[in-house]
Amino acid sequence: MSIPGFRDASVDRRDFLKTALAIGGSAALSACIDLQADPIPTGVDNPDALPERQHAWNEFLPTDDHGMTRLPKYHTILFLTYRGDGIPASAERNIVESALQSIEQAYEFSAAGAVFTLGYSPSYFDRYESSLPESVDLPMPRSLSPMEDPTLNTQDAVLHVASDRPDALLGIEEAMFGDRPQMNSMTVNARLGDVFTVSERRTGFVGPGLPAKKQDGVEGVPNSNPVPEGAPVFMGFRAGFPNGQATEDYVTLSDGPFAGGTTQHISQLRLRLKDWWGEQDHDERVAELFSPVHAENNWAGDVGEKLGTNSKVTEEIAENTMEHAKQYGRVGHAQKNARGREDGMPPLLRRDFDGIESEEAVTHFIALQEEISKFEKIRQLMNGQDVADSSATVRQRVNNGILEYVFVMSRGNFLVPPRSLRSLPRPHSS
Amino acid sequence: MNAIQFLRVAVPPPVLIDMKRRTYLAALTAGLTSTAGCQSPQSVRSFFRRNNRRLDKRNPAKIPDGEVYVPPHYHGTGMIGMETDGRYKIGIMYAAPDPFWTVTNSDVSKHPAGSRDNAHLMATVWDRKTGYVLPDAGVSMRVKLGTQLVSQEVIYPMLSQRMGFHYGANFQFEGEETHRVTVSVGGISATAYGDFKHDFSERGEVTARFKYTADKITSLALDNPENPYEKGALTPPRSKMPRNTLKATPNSIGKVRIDGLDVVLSHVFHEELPTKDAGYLAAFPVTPYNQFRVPNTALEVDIEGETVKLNPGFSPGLGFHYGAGIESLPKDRDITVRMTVPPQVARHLGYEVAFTEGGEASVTYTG
Repeated sequence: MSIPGFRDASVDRRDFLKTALAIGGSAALSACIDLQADPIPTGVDNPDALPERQHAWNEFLPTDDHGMTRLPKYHTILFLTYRGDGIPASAERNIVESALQSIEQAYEFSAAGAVFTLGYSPSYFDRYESSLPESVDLPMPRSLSPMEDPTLNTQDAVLHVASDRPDALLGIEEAMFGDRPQMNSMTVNARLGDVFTVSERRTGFVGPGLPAKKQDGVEGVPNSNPVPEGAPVFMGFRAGFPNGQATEDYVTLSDGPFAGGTTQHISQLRLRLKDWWGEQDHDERVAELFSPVHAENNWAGDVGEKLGTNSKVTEEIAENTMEHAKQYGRVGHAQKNARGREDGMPPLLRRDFDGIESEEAVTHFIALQEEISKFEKIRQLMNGQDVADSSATVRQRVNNGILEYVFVMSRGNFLVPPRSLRSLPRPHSS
Repeated sequence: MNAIQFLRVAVPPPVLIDMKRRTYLAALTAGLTSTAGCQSPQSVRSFFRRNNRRLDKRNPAKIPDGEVYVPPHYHGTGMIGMETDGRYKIGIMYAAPDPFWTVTNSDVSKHPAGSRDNAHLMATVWDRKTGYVLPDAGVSMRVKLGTQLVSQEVIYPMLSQRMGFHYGANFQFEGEETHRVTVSVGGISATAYGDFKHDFSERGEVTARFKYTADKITSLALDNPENPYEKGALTPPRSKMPRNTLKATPNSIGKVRIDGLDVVLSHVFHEELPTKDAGYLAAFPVTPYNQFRVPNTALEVDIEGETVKLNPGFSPGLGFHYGAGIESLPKDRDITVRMTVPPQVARHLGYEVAFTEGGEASVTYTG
């Protein structure tokens, strides 16, 4: 799509939408609306009919060409600070609930409309005198490896919104935190901006074609633009295979006052794509992302399309991590993490996507798990310290999964309460 | 506002249309550095392209097989800074973009300097108290210009005849400006003993300012030794920074040469070691001629029909070594030392054909 009149340059439509989302604001919203003709499906009259689990998205998401559930294409993460000083009042609780219900009424809860979660940090709950119940494992975020020094996101809350339509995301943002009176042509009943300020904003995308179109000029991506068209993320391969993900059920808190909720770890990782794409060949990338056996047998194909709906990262491959270090001189990211499966079930449900921050390629990593400590355990396995200690070839980061190519910029831990407790919950809610 | 208006107003043309930041910055830089005698970063690349044959050039036919040899040329280095963080002392240096060879198991792979690289940055990390250079730690380097990130990457453990063991990588500076170079150290791979046990578990990070100019790089001395390709090594220049050289070895019982690498053996008894008063066999892989300690290898010994794996260790008394508890050594018997994985450290010219295969050798313990 060429936008006439603008230096006769051909600006790809997807490129434009991603840029507009990244820039944000009212002008960007208008520009998107200008481009998009199709209406966005509206939501439900009675939002209480939506699932009790805020994170129950899968039943509303479409599947990709291989039959795998896919995330919506565009995402926004907003870190929120409560405007008040002490403990939120019930009037404010009502405003938040009313605002969220407005979103659910304006947009269908789906990829075509918008899906979202609102989570709260340990710092938020520290405002209260009583503490979170024992059933909630929500520690303060911290550095999880000797190679990182992340900024800690300790803001009160975080709103993660996703949609196939960037104008839906911008519309929600402008209504909730700006002053637009309508969202998707429906009246806004209350604004989150009356209770929260936005302290940090991150946007991104995931899906075939999106990183490929966005790679041009991104710092760290070689000029050859090597990200294949079919790749959903900058590192070039499909991810989120069902056998590598926990079910929504598995990550849901089963007891206590927050039953039905989950915990959420959000981090931002800078990607060193120049070396990932420039210094390594395809087989080396497959070996470091999946396992050396995947590379040897060419199981992945170009972008993981040959894997269909199963990553082939079996228990056996996970158990042979040390052996592979000796035999092949490198180990895979997925294989290291798979060592943390519990009775064959991975404990994390990942909903990450990529983005561009200051022209650097980044991954916005989001994991849902029943307890934050489960995430931290997997991260220790990912560090592969035990592999590095026993191998002369696999070093702390070199030849050790993808560690050489990711730099952790920030981390945050949040509780995503069940829907009935999603608006400024008290810690020991009854 | 419609799409066209938005593009015109909200998005500066160079950002959307020409997203190549390098081109954008280079255009700025060209404007700033057009004074005569001042070379731009681009000209460093052409300087080395014209002269690159000298930096890269080696005649494989003349190289002695499997040996450490004197390279046909070498260049000088410059100092960026030496800073301290806790127990870590880190020296940061620059040099001309340099090729190096990585070793993965026995696969040797050349990494030539990229056509856009215009500097080789290096870091040496050592213990402020004892002066011991830290064995394979996870080191990364970040170069920033103001708030803009120029580059951030894991830098490789490397061996060069003039610097010994250090970490390095090739970088691309954008303009002749003052950059901030930050080196981060996270964890060592060897087991720390004695007082070292708690000293290096924390991360360390230091930053130094570096005004990059093409002149600095192109004016580094480029020399040709008198005896190129001979078995031997360049003499390291004097430096304030330690070079990870093995000096005296306590209770040395002998030395073997495996695949062009020396391994010095010692039988020691020390409180700080896991074996306490019982005996401990320490092995020090070192380069011939310069005696630089070499990490990232795998060693085992055969004694009296038993094979014992030696583990990487780091202690105040021994520094970096490979070792295991062996109570006593049988007199007048052979000890076979086996290098099962050759040193996986990257090599600069002169070290790229030696100790890439592994092997074994024996020494007789005479007591």
